[in-house]
Amino acid sequence: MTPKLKIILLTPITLILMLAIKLFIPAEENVKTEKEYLWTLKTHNPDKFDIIIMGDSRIYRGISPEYLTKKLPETTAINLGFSSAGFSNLYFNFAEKKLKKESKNKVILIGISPHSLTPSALKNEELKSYLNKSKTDVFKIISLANVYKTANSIMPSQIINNLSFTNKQYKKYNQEFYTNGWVKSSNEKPNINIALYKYKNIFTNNKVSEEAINNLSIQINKWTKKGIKVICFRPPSTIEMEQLEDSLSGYNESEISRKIITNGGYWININSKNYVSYDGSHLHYESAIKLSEKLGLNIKELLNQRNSNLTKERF
Amino acid sequence: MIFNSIEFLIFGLLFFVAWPYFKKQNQRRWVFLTFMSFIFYGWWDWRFLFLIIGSGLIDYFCGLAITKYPLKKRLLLIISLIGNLGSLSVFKYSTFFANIADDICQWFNINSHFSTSIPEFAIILPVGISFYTFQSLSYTIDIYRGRLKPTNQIFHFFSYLSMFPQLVAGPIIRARDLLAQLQTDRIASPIQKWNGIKLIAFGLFQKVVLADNLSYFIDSAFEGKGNISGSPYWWTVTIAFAFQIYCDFSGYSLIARGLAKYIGYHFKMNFNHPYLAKNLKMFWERWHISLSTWFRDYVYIPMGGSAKGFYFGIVFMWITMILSGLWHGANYTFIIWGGLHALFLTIERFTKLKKRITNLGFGSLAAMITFIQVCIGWVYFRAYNYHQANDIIAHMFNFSNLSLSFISTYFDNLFYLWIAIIIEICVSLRRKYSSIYTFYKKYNLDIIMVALAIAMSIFMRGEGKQFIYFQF
Repeated sequence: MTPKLKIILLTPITLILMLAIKLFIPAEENVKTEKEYLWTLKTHNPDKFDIIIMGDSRIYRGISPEYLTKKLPETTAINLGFSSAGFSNLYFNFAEKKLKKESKNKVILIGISPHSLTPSALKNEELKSYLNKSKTDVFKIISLANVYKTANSIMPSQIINNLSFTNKQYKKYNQEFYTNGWVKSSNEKPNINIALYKYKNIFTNNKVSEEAINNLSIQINKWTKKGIKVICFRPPSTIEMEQLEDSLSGYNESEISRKIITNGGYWININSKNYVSYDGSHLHYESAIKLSEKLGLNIKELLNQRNSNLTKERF
Repeated sequence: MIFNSIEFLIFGLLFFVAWPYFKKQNQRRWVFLTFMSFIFYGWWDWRFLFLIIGSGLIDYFCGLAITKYPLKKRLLLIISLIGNLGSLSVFKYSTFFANIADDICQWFNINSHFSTSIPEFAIILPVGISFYTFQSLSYTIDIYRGRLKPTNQIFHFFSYLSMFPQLVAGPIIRARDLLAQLQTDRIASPIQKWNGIKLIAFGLFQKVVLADNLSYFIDSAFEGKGNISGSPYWWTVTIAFAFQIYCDFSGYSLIARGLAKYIGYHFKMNFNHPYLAKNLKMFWERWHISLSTWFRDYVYIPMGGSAKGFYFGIVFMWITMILSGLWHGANYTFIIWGGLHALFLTIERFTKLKKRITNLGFGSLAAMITFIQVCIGWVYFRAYNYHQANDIIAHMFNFSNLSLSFISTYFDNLFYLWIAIIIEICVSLRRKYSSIYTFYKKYNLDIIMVALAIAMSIFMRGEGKQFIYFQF
C-alpha cells in the first residue's frame, strides 16, 4: 500500500473505528466533563436567584433547588455547593453576587458541616479553581460542552463493565448532574463506613476554627441587616458520622446555632435518623429530595411569617 | 498554546492552509515561520516574547561579529554566554539562589531577605526558557568553534530559533542541522507526510491517553491525598511516574517531529525507548537525546571528556550530570537526581556489572536493574523536596506493608500503566524478532495503529494537562 493511499484511507478507517466505539460502548455521562461544564456554568452564569444554597459536597448532593422551591411559587434557587467548601469571605462575596437584588424574598440557606469550618476548607480550592478560570476557558467549556460530551472520555472500567455479561461489578456510583447545582447521587453498593475512616484522618490536624465561626456570624449579621434571611442547619449524614465529628472536629452544634441566632440568623434542627446516606457522609437522592422538601416548607413558613413578630429562634 | 488544545487545532489549520503560499520564497517563508511561532509562544504570555527576541538578537549579532572580528571572538562569546545564561539565572534560578543565600546567612546568624526581595517578574518562569536558551547558545558556540557559518538573514535565524513545533519543549535542534534545511523550499514526499502523521498520532496517544491518565494517581500520591501506604503502592507510583514523564515528554517530541516532517523538515529522534536500555550509559543515549548530546558536546567534551584519563572522566561526568540536573529545575531535588545518576554511572564504570550480566545472556535482568535505578532517581525528580523523596524511598524498601488495596481504587489509572508497559514489551519483541516486524509491514498494520491511536486519543483521553517539560 502506498503512503498516499494510507493517508487517504486513514480518515475513513478512523471514523469507522470511532463509530464502532460509540456503538459498542454506550455513552455514559462522564462525571468530570459534566461537572466541569455545570460548575463553570454555576460559577460564571450571570443569572440571579431568590434563594442561594451554600455548603460543601453534602449540600450539592443533599439539596435539590427544584424540590426546595416546589411549594414556593415564582421563587428561583441555585445550589452553590462546592467540594470541601469553607465559609470564607471569598465564598460569601461570590454567593451574595448571585442574589437577585430586586427579590422580596432573599434567602441564603447554609449547610454548616464540621469540615466547612476547618482551615483546610477555608482555602476553598475548588471554588477558587472555577473563579480563576480565564474568560477563554469559560467560553470554551460552556460553548463547546456538546462537543466534549459527544467525545466523552471512556473509562477502562466502563469498557470492562460493558464487556462483562455477569454482574456489573465496576458500576457502583451513580451521579446525575443538574443545572441548578444538585447532584442526584446513589451507590449500588452502599457502605456507611467508607467516609468514617476518611474523616478520622481529615480531623487529625484540622479542627473547627473559632475564627471561622465568628466570621460566619459577622457575615450573617451583615446579611440580616441588608434584609436577607439567613437559614442555617447541620447537613444530615449518619448518627455514627455525627458522633465521630462531634468527638474529633470540635464542632459544637448548640454553640454554633446560638451564635447564628444571636446574629439574626435562623437555625433548623435536622435529625440524621430520618435520612439515608450511601457512604456515611452524603445523602441518597431520595433522602436529598425529602430534605429539600422539608427545608422548602421551613422557608415558606418563615417567609409567610415575615411580617409577624417572629422571634429569631429555632424552628 | 499546547498541542492537545482547541487553540492549537485552529492555529494548525491556519498554518497548514497558509504554508504552501509562504514556503516557496526564502524571506517569506522565514518571516511566516517566525510570525506564527511568535503567535504560538505569545499565546501563553506575549510579554515573554521580548525575552526570546532579546536573547536571540544577542546571539544573532554576536554570531555575525565573531566572523567579522576573529580577534575578539572570545569576548563576543562571553557576551553571548552572559546574555543567555544571565536571563536563565534571573528567570529560572534567582529564587533558588536567593534561598541558598538566605540559608547560608542564617547559619552565620545574619538576618537576610534575599528571597523576598526578588522582583515579581523574575519569579515567573517563562515557558521553555531552558530549551530555547540552549538552542541559541549552541549557535554562537558553533560559530566560535568555526563549525558553523552565521546567517546574515535575521528572519532566517529567528525561524530557526523559534520554530514553533519544538520551541517550548524541544528537541533542542542544532543550528547546523536546521539552518541549512530552512534555506530551501522543502517538499515533503508522501512517505514523509505519512511518517509525520504517524508521529503526531503516536505522540498524541502517548500524551493524552497514557501520560494524562496516569497523572491523577501520581498527583494524589505526591500530594498525600491517597492516604495509602506500603511498598507495592510506592513502587507502583514510582513506576507510573517513570512512564508518565516518558510518555509526556516523548509524546511532545513525537508531535514536534511529526509536525516538522509534515512540512518537509527533519528533527533528530529525541527518545529511543530508554526503559529498554541495559545500562545507564545506554539509557542516556536514548533519553532526551538532544539534551544529552548537547551536554556531551558543549560541557563534557570541552572539559576533557574521557580523553584525560579514567578518573578525570568520572569527575567531568559528575559535573555534567549535576549541571543536567540543575538544567531541569531550580531545586535541590534535581541536583540530587543528577548526582544519583552520576553515582550509578560511576559504579557502572567501575564494576561493569551490567555488561557482564548482559554478556552472560541475562540482558533483561540488566535492563530491569537499570530501570530500578532510573526509578529511584525519578522519586527525587518528582518529589516536592528531598525530605519527601527520602520518605518515599524508605517506604519503597520497607516491606512490612504489602497491601495491594490501591489497585481497585485506582483501577482506571493503572490500566494505562499496563498499556504503557505492554507497548514497551511489544517494541522490545519487535526488535528481537524480525518476523513480527515483517508481519507488521506486510499487512500494513501501521494504518490500523494510527487510526486506533487517534480514536483512543479522542475517547480515552485523560484530564488535560500541560506538558511536564514546559516548566524546564
